[in-house]
Amino acid sequence: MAPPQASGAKDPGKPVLAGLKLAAGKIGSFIFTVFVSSVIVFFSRWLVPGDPISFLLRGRSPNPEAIAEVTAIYGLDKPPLEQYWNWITGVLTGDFGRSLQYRQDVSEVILGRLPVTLGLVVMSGIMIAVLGLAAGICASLLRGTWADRAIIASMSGLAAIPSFVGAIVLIAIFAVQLGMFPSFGSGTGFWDMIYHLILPSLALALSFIAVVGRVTRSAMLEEFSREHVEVARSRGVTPVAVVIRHVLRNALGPILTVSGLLVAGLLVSSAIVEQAFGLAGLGSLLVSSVDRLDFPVVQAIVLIVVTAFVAINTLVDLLGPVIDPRLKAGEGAR
Amino acid sequence: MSIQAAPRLPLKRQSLHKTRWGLVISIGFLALVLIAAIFAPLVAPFSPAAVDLLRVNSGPTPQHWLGTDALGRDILSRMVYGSRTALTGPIVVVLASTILGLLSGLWAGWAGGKIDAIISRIFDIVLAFPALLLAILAVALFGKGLIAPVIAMSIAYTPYIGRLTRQLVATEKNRQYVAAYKVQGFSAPWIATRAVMPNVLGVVGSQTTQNFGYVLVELAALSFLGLGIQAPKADWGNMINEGQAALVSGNFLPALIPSIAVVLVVVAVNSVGGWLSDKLGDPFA
Amino acid sequence: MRLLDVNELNLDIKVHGAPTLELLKAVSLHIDRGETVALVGESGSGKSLTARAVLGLLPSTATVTGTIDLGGVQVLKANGPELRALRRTRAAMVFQDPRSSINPVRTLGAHLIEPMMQEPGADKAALEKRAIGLLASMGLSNPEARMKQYPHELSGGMLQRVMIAGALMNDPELLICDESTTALDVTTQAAVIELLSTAVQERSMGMLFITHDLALAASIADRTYVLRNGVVQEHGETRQVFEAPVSEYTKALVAATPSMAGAPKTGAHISDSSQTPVLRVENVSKTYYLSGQPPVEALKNVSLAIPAGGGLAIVGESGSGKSTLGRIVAGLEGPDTGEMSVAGGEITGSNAKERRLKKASRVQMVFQDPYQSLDSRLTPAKALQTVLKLHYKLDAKAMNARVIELLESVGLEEKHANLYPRKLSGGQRQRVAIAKAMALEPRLLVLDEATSALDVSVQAQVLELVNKLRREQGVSVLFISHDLAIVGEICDELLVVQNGSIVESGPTAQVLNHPQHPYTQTLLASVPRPRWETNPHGAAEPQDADLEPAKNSSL
Repeated sequence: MAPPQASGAKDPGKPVLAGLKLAAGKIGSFIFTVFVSSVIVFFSRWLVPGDPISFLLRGRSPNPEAIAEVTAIYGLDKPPLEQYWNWITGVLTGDFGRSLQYRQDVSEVILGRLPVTLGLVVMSGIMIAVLGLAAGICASLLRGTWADRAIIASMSGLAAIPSFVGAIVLIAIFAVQLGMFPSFGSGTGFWDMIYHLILPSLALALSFIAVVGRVTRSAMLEEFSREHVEVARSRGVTPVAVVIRHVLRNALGPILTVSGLLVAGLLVSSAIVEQAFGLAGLGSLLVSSVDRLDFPVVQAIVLIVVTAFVAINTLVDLLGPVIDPRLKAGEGAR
Repeated sequence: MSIQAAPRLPLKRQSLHKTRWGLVISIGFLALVLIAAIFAPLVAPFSPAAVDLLRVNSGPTPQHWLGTDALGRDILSRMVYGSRTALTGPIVVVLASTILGLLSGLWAGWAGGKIDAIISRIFDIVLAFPALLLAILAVALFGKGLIAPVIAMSIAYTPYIGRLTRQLVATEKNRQYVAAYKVQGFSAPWIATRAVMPNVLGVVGSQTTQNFGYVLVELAALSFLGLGIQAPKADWGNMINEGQAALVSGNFLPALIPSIAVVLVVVAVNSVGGWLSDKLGDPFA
Repeated sequence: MRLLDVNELNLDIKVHGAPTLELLKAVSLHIDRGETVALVGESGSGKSLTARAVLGLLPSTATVTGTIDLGGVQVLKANGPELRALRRTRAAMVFQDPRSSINPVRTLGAHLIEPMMQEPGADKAALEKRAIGLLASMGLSNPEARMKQYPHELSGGMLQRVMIAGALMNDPELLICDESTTALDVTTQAAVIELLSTAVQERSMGMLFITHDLALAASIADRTYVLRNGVVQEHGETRQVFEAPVSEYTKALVAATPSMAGAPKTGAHISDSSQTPVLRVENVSKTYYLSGQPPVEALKNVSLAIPAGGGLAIVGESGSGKSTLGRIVAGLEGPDTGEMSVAGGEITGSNAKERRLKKASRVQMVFQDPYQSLDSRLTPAKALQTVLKLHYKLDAKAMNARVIELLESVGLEEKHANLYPRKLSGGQRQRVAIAKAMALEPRLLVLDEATSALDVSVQAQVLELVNKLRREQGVSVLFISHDLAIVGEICDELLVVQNGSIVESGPTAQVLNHPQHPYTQTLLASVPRPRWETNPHGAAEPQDADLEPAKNSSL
């Protein structure tokens, strides 16, 4: 049985309803954003002057058969809106059209490349979360000491290392000089792939570790300065409990929000790392498709990356009220 | 309602008389790079495209201070010429996105209501496209080079400045000093541009310098991927790309030198940016 | 028997590169069991630091000498576990702002039982039962459900009751209240004070009551210490300290404290009712529609008038609509319905700019927080020039003379003209704000809580300045305040608002001495009075905490 609700307090049904409404709004805006993005991605082709056939056939021989084939596959003789409709309904059923370069379905090409990119992003995600949080928490606990300054300094350094520089340096040290890790390819089999992906994930993770570390440190320090932390201390709560329940717990919100935004960089930078380490992932597919003027594949990958990015941030938004109950009531965050 | 201020303890603040050596070095280094970029033909000892197949991957020598690359081209000269594209791209992107972002953010934050909702929605959609991804899409559409990516990134970075400005202006708008100006008969456009804007610029300026670093890295990444500035034109990004082949044979310099240059410029810009935002954010300290 | 004995406490804070701050100098005080002791001082006096020192809560940069003996424990020598045991079981503290004192992401129940849960062998069910009992004794209805609520679901007054319940969880011997009622409305403050005194009496606890408000100290404390710049100026029986102060500072403080100065004063009658009223408000209503919340009726059919040269005070608690009224009069917002005219007649002009300027020259406003109402980038001289340039055509010499004249008229000197606001004190800033308003020679000056962020002695000076301006320049005043005790100082008419409606109005003396409406009576009864004086309006009726609306800030 539900406990009796206090007079003057909110009706017990209401917060749940408000929470659902909030969630529905966020999912609605996710759908809207992805829809507009798909429109942008699809119609971006119309920005290029000239007719679509010659655009799609750039760098290929424009013989009549090729023209007829492209026109038929992409429905270029139909009005633009109908073309979009056909494309987007296809995308929703997993059909991204045909690749000009591979003469295969785009979805097949992409599926073949997905495991490497997923492995790369997940592995560096774990590195970023573990090392970034650890560095930030340590620095905030040791604030003002030499250890804090050392962590801050090394994070400032790390943050300035782009993934391609990280890749170069890691290859030079661990692959060429020490010979500990391979510098090329993704190996065969699951464990071999993990082994091959250690250096690439680290190269990808480096600057993000620094960002998460700095955000964690400042979020922790901000929460440390709040009055309720001093109140907890004044009531004899142990330091460990103060840090975990009153500082880290409250700092999670901002850390999670920033982490969600970092995903964009992570997804795109994976292209750079894949290129540097010769990995056959989505990113290197995107680059080679741009290189070989295979626009249908480019379109598909751009849409997938944008959708993944927006989806993750919607997820973070949906988690918000769980972490901070004030958000549930629709009140502004802190 | 009277609320007593809690006792304020003095914050630790950098002494004004202490020279900030990091800042001095950063400014000096950036000045050096800028001079090299502007006067590249005078500064560079060789032509950046001069191939010397007899001296390939030579390592530092009296003629070639930083050695030569796989085609025997002088790395120092290529670095000097490469600094031109390395700096122009970010400068253009940062200028364009800051101006656009400031204006749209000020408009959204000040007007509020429907205008705010529409502009914010546009920001959200542009933000869904990571800058480098938008640049790659632009290259796919308009071909390789610097112009399409720079335009794409100017668009991609506008909402970063715009959202920040909007949020700052919206907060600032509700402050008592703005109400005080209104009561005294100042017009809304006057208050927005003359009173609120200067109070917002410090924070925006700090974001702008940060963006400079990001854009520099992303444009270098684009040319590292072979989608930006095209060889044989020298650019730090494609120098790293070309130098990577020599890496496996233990010849690190061709890839390492442009890498270091990218990192140093980013660190220097961020250091100047940090100082600038302290200055602009709190000019009376 | 001594419960707390603070002896020769010195506290210095040394920050690298800054001169050492001597924040407490040889502070000695003691509290016996069952005794309530007030520590009174203005901001920066060191009173909060003293309270924190008693619990061993000191910044790491502090150097402390002296001794603090709390029930036999040497606080300054105690180690971590000893200090924690002390804080859990022997002494508890209630802070100023209940809203920021409880972790916003945890339930009230978790807050209440947290310290005791850390004692070995803690029984969660028993602790929760005890917490529920304490919540009930604090006048909170439905305590079981409260345990599962979050802080943002309760009003400030209710939260402060939760804080007190949390402090009483393990029957401390000493309760420290650091400005614990300052953030509350006056009626809520009265109820919380009542609760505190009851709790202290029932448990025969000692209480250290820290406040900036002498009148409040007089209403609760047996003995009083007066602190200034880290030095105890005076101490003794509360009545003696107030009625026969020895130190100059205490004398000045007593004189500046409005309700301490005897019967309510009434402002000078300098209004001239023969002329057309300077402000006429007729049937004005205003409703705010906030997304996701029920509409707030900030003003309901409010009518009022101020005769030329008159002074009208509007008194109400937060959420009463008094600030909305001020903003409407100043033209910052328009009423939904109703009519308003300032200085007679409609404002006409050929273009928007002319109308704006005309309006500004009729009514000006001074805001509550002098730290926010001045543009931090402008010195007083520059700020005044900016305003003068907009309204008048003055050459450089005339401009300069006018700026200096204005600064002098508010009691500032030429040397202040070119200091940035951050270098000015709160009182000086508020003078600059007044000078800016008076620069346009308005017929009406709206003062919205213009003295409530200031220390009492500064408040007295600013009130005097407003009176001077009224006498010398004949400006009418609309004085918006939560503080009944000060309105008599400058206003001849008084208007009490509650929930957007006027409940009572009349000449100040009449309303203060013979309040008719029950709400006015409650308000007056809630004004702290010395314990040794009989209350002319009967005891404050204890309010049910649940009747307090959850406040969003005064609209």
